[in-house]
Amino acid sequence: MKQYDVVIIGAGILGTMTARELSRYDLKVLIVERAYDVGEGATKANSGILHAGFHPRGGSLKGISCVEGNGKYGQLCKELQIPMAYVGGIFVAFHEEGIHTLHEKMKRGIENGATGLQMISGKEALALEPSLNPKVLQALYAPTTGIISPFQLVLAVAKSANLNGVDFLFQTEVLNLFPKEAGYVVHTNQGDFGADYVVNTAGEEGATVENFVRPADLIIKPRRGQFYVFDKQVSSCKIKHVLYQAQEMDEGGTLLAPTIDGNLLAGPTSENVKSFHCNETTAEGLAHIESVAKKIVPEIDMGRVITSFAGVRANIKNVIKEEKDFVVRVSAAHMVSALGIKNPGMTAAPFLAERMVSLLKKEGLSLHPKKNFIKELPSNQPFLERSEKEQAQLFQQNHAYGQVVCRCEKITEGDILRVLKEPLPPKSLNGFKKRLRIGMGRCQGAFCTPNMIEILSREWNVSPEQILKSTKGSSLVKGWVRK
Amino acid sequence: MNDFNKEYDLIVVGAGPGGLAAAVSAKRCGVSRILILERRDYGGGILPQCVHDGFGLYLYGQSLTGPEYAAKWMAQLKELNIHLETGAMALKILPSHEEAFHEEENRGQRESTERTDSSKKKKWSVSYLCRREGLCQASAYGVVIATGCREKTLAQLHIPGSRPAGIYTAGSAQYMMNIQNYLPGKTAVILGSGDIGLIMARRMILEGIHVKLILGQKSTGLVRNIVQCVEDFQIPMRYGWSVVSVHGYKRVKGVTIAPVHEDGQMDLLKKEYVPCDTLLVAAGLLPELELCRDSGFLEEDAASLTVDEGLSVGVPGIFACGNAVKIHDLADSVSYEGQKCGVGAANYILRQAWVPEDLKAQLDIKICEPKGSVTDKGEGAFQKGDKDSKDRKVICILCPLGCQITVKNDAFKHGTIDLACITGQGCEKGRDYAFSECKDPKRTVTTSVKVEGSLFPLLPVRTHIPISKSDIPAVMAAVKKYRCKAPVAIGEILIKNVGGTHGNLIASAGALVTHSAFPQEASWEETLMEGESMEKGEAYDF
Repeated sequence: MKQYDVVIIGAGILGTMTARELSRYDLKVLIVERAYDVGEGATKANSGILHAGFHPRGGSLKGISCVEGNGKYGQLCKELQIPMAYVGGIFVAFHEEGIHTLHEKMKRGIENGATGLQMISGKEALALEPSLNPKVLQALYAPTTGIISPFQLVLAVAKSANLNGVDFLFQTEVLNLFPKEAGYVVHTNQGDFGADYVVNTAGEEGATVENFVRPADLIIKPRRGQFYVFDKQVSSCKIKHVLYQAQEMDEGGTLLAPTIDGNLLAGPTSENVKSFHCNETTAEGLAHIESVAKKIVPEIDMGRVITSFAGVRANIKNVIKEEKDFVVRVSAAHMVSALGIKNPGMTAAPFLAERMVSLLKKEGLSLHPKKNFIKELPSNQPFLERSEKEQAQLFQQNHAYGQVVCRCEKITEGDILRVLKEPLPPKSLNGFKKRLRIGMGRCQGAFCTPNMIEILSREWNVSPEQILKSTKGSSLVKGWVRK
Repeated sequence: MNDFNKEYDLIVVGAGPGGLAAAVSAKRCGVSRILILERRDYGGGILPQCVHDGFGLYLYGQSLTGPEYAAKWMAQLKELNIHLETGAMALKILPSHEEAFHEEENRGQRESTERTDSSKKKKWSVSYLCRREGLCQASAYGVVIATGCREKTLAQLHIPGSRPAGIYTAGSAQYMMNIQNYLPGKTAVILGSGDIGLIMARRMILEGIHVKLILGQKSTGLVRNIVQCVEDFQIPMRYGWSVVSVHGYKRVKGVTIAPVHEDGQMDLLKKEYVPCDTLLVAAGLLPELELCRDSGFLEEDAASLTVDEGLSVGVPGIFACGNAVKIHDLADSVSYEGQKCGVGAANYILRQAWVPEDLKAQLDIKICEPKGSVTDKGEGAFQKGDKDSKDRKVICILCPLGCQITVKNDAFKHGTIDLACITGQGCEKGRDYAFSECKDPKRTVTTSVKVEGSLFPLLPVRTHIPISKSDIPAVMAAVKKYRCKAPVAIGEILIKNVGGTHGNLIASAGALVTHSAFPQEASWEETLMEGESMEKGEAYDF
């Protein structure tokens, strides 16, 4: 049985962040993930916003970790070489009661430690964002609201952890935890692993995993959020800020946000669903997003929608809304858990990861800083975005850089081959979506999917039927036309 | 950045029917240095994957398959010595900073009849990425944008549901089946009754994929395709129905469908669930204008290009043609527009170009696109078999006119044919066609066979003459068993009297032997060059 100092369950944003934090120290760390790639749970279905921290209840862990986490992103993104931008958020009120909400939110923000929050007039809001509905009465402006790509983030964090010695195992589902002398036996479908300490960042299965070692008190249920993705924004009518509104009715937290890649995102909805597999969008959900989006920006062109998607977050069901908070705790000796981490979990993750590590320390984990911790990651920039000098070098190395495969995002075969050789390489088509944006453009993979199947079956030396879209059972083709 | 010696008079972006025609006609009008950039590994654009026939009816008076039609143009390219760079994607077109005297030097060597004032003309510089040389830059006086189009996706139709594997646009599926030899699925529903959707319905059925349904919209494909692809194979078609939702977590499991009311709302009370593992989306095409946009020839949010008579986009020296300008139904009309564009570009580059007589004649051809909206002609007229309806309507596909011929049910009384009962034809041939269509309908079978030792796994094939519809299964059975070895010449007879019919199975493209260690670097161009004998062959005697 392989022995680790720490086994982390779940490779979402918090699991990988915790892994990276632990990789600063002389520790043997393993991260096990049920899915085929990192960030396949709530991390994937995320609006890509770094929240300013005025939504969560004042002084709550949610609120504090959100503000603290937000502040860490500047440095983190520099180290990981991924783009982010503090574009600012505008929370608007279209009705009198809404103004009350704005004040309430501002109060919460201040209590959570958010800086720079400012109450602005409708006119000022329109000056900042001319496409806003002119009916805006007043707005709360938050300069620290930022945008980032959740895909790029979770990958970069995971790669950094991997580079610093953290082992990753995918398609590995934890079936039970058996206490042993000082630690646990992590029993999985891929065999048993010894762990002195266990970190539970299992997201949707967080409560299940915790229940292996202690009686249940929290019930975690799936809650779905749907989104629309619009084509790259044109400069003439570009939405620059994250826009949301004080609800008049039960409109949910639907917002409009530019993405770091230049697209526009509208969503999410919020509805309870039966299972964590329910990632289908629905006509009602999408209609709801459309109506709220049109309320905020009346001129919005729905013809520019390139896709829609849905994701499922872990929602604590048996705690009333007013008292609901992130739960980060010692579940049993030598085991810490993070439960009910949904929005703003990604923003809060850098702070929560540190909290997890400090809890482990309290449990007795000894932390000796590594001398050779590698902070920075090599660039993940595609060929066509690199400098002329780099391009010449890369092309010299491999002429595959001369072949564009994804026309919309302008990704070359060379980029694909490079990513295949990197740490945590993709195992299916969706992995390339995360790593290189392949198939995320306006053609949604129509041009590149057939070529990707060909390249991957060649590189992996497998038959085309074995090339998957996501995971087992998602084969893209069903054999040959002529054998 | 490689920019040595890359000076041209004209650069054509895209080697599909539009780009090829533009390059060929510009050359024939006297433009000497032409470069074509093609992002695929082969010339012809969409044509090599369109193994079905129906191309060239207007320009050549023949029903050619896509590869055959492409071969005709590729042969001209070779004859005229036009350079085609495959695997090369144009990234941006920018005004060139070159000095005017450079141009003077280069142009000094040209014949005096071709001398123009183009040395004063602005030059354009096209940056492109290609597998052979990496990032390159080439300059020219004129640029033709023939980037074609792309397909609307499921998401653009705002259809909710999951996004598992098994959702393909019809063109992607066609590329998989006809170029890559990949079978996209086993049971399919087709959303959209545009031409590609209908053609793919037949293609899939011929290859054993169960096509459960076609969900048709008002704007349908050519009547010809409705007859040959849908009716022939009795594929259920639901007009006015659409997909409500897609189901499946990993691979498509099924779709929920429902009728769409006039106001766009779906009648969910009538919804039905159809299990399938593949959803083919044939919901229309959109001009591919990324290059125009990136180069600033088009407002960022403009949906389409505006061109003048000579197909200039309103910027001196920049021209566009084909589906990049507007979606055409026929490749012939794209080629036609490409020719016009080539002449327009030549007129610009050479100030006044000399247009060869035969090219002038080509430009006089009138192309009417016989669109068949079934709803226009009374629903059911083309769907129901001849047994139920009294009169049989036949679309003649022998010539460009596409006459709609009516054959009265009484025509076949007493075992003989009463010719007076056939009306609407433009000529006698049309009447004969209508007669045979009612008595013993004949079809050209187009498909592909496995070829070994070639650049591509499949070789497109066809029957050299139309064969009885009832013999199609026998022909397909023979085709599926057959395999051949490269080299194969276009037009070569592969199986005589295939499936016991009078038809021979012939190669509708050539297949070269793979010599290169990098097969993707050799071009289809040469593949298609192989057998120019096709033009002489009797194979095309209809």
